[in-house]
Amino acid sequence: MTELYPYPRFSLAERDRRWKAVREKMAEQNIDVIVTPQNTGHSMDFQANTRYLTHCGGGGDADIAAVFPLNGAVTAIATTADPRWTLTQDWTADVREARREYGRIIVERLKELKVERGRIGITGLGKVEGTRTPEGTILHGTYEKIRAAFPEAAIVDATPILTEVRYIKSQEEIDVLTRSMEIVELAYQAEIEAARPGARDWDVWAATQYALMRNGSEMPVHCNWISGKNVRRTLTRPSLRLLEPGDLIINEVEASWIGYRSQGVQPVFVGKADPVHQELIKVQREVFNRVLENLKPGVTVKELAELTVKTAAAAAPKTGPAAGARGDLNMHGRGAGDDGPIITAHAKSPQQLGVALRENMVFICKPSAIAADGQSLSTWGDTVVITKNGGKRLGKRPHDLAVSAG
Amino acid sequence: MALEKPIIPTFSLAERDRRWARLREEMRRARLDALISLPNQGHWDQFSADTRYITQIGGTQTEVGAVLALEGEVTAIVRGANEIEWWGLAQDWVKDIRPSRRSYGEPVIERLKEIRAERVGVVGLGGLVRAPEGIVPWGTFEKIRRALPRATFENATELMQTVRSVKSAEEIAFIEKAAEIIGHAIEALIAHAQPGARENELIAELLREIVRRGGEPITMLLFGSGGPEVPWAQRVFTTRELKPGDLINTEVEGKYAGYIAQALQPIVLGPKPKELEKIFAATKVIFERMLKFLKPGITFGEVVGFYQEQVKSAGYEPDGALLHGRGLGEDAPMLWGARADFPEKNARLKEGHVFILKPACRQGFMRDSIRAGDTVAIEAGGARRLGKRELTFIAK
Repeated sequence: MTELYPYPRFSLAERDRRWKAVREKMAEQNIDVIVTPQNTGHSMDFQANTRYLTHCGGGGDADIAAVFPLNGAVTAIATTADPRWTLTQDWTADVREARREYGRIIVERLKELKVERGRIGITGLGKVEGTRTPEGTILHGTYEKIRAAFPEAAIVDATPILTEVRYIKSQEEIDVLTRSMEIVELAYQAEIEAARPGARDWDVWAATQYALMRNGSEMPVHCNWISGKNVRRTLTRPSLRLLEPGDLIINEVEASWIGYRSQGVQPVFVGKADPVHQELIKVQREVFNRVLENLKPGVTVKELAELTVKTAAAAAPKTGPAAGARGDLNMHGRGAGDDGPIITAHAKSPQQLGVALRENMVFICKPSAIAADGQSLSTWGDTVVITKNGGKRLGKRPHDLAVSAG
Repeated sequence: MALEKPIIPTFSLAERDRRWARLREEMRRARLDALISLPNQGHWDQFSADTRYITQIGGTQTEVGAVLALEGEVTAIVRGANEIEWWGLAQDWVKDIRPSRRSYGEPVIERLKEIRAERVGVVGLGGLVRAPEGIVPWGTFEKIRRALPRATFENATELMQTVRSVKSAEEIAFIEKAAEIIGHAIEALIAHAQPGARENELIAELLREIVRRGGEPITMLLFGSGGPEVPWAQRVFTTRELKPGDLINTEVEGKYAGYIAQALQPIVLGPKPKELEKIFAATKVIFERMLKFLKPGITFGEVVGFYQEQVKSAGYEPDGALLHGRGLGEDAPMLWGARADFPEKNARLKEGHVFILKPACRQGFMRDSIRAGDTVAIEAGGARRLGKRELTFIAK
C-alpha cells in the first residue's frame, strides 16, 4: 500500500462518529442520500460539508463533491482524484474521478443507490438559509443534471442536517481548533513585529501570512484587514500605503489546520495607541468577559446580544472618551467552514438568534465597544468553546490592544 | 472620519472603456440587453474573473457580482456598506455599487428591471475550461428567473471568453508584473530549499515573497517533494521534511491585481538524475522552438502538431497540458499535448493572447514530469516570454 502523505488527519473513530450522527438525522427525516456539492468559494468554506464527511479537501481549487448514502459506501468525487485524494486520507475508499463533470458522477452514484423514487437531500440547495449562503452553494449546471436524471425523486434541502451535526464539536475537533488558534496567535506576533512606522501595509500582511503558513496553516484562509487612522471595518485585503505612527490595523485572522479555522481579532496600533481606544478596550474587555461567563448550554445568541448591550451600558464610564460607549455582539460558529449560528452587525436573522448554545459548540466571540459618537470602535476576539461552566478561550494572548515598536 | 483612498493597482479609464465597448459590441451581435455575472470566489478567486474584468472589483475572496447593461451604468453588487465605501474609493470604473447582504438575486433583479432587460446573457452558465457545469449558483439564478418570467437567459460564457482572450497592453503589463513577482518568489524558494526544511515552510517562503512584492496571496501554489519518481505537484501542503536527493516539483502562480502568470521550477537536492536532466533539456529546447513558432495567424491545431512533432523527434511522447490561457482566471483555451483533435483546432492565435506554455516530454509511466515553461504573450512579431528567469533544472 502506498504511504499516506505526512499530513495531520482525524481518526477513524471520528469518522464513524460523524457518519453515525448524520445518518441518524437522515433516518429521522426519511432521507436516502445526501449530496454535498463542490464549491471552492469563500476560502473553501462553502465546501466544508464535503470535507466534513469524506476528509478530502484543502487547496483553493480542489472541487470535491460527496454522495453520502443512508447505507453503503460514501463517495468522494474529485478531479485528478487519484493520487490527489487517495493519498491524503483514510476515511473514504470510494474516490471517483470527475474530470470536472461533477453532476455526471453524482448521478452515476445516485443511480447505483437506486434512489429514483427516493428522497435526495442536497446541502446548499438555497431553500433553507445557510450561515452565509441564503441562496445556497450548489451550482446551476450540477443541480440541473441531478434534477433531470431523477424527475421522480423528492429533492430536499439537507443544509440543516449538516449544520446541526457540525454545531457540536468532538474533542478531536476542539484539539484541532486549539492548534489553529495557536497558529493565529503566532501570526499576530509576526504582525506586531512587522507593523513599524514606514512599513508598507502589504508587507505587514505578508509577514502575517508567512507566519500562518510556516506554522502549518493551509491556504486559502480568511484574513480580513484594514489599516489607517481609527479604521472601523475590515475588508479582504491590505493596501500599498505606508504605515504611520498612530495607525490602527484591525483584522480577522484565521488559520486552517486540517481545514479547521479558529479566528482571532486583534487591534494593532503602530507605535502608539489612541487614547480613545485605550479606554474603549476596557469596556470591551468587560463585555467579553461577561459574555464568556455566560457561554453555557441553553443560552440563546439573542440573550447574549442583550447581555452585551446591558454590560456595556453598565461598564461604560460616565466621563472620558469611553463615556456612553455601547456594546454590540459579533459571534459566529467556527469549525470546518461557514459554521453557524451567526450574529453580526448585519446578520441578525431570527432563526440564527434563536439557536440555543450547546456544550462543545465553538465560536469566535468578538463583541465591540463603540464610542458614543460612533466614530471609534474597539473589537477584540478569541475562539471559545462552550462548556457547562461557561466559555473557555482557545487562545492565550493577553486581552488588550497590541502596540508595535515605534 | 472618511476613509483614505486605498492604494491598490488599478487600470485606466481608457482600459475600462475599451473593455465595455468590446463587450457591448459582442452583446449587440448576440442581441443581449444585459450581461450578468454572479458571485463565485472558487478556484483561488478565478471564478470571479468575469466580474472583476467588468468592474475591477474583486480578489482575495471578495463577494461581488455585476450587471453590464447594453447602455447606461454598469452595476456592481457587493456584500454591504463597508465594501461600497471602500471600493467606491479604491477604483473609479463603477459608481453604481449596491449592497446585497449576501442575497445577490434581489439587486440583480432590481437592476434588470430598471433597464427593462428582455434578453440577458449569463456569464459562466456552463462550458468553462475548469467548470463545464458552470459557476452560477443555482439558488441565485432561479430567483432571478422566477422574478423575470418574460426574460430569456442565454449562456454568455463564450462571448466573455472571446473578449477576455485578447489582452490589451495594460493587461499584459500586469501579467508581466505577475511574472516578475513569481520569479522573485521562485528565487526565495530556491534559496530556502534544503534538507531539513519542511514543505509548508517552503510554501510560506513563496507566499511571503509574493505578497511582499505586491501580489495577491489567494493564488495557486502546487507543490510536491520526494523521489526518486517526480513527485506530484499537489494542493495539500504537507509538513514533510526534505531529504537529500529529493526532487521538488512546482506549478505556481503570481497574481497582480488578479492577473496571473504561471511558472514551473524543478529543483533537486543533490545531483540531477541523468534521465530527468535529459528530459528537462529536451523540454527547454522545445519551449524555445515553440516560442519562435508561435505567431498571430497560425491555428491551435498547428501549435499542437508542431509540439508533437518536436517531442517525437526528441525521442519522447507528448503529455500533459501544453498551453492554456492566462489572465484573470479561467482563461481559454486549454490545449492538451497528446490530443490531435479538439474544438479549438482551427481557431487562430491572435495578437494579445497570453498563455502558459509548458511542453512536456514523457518517457514510459510518469506520475508527473518536470519541464521548462513560462507565461508568454503573442505579439505582432511573434511570442514573447513574460518571465525573465533562466529556465533551468536547479541542483542544490
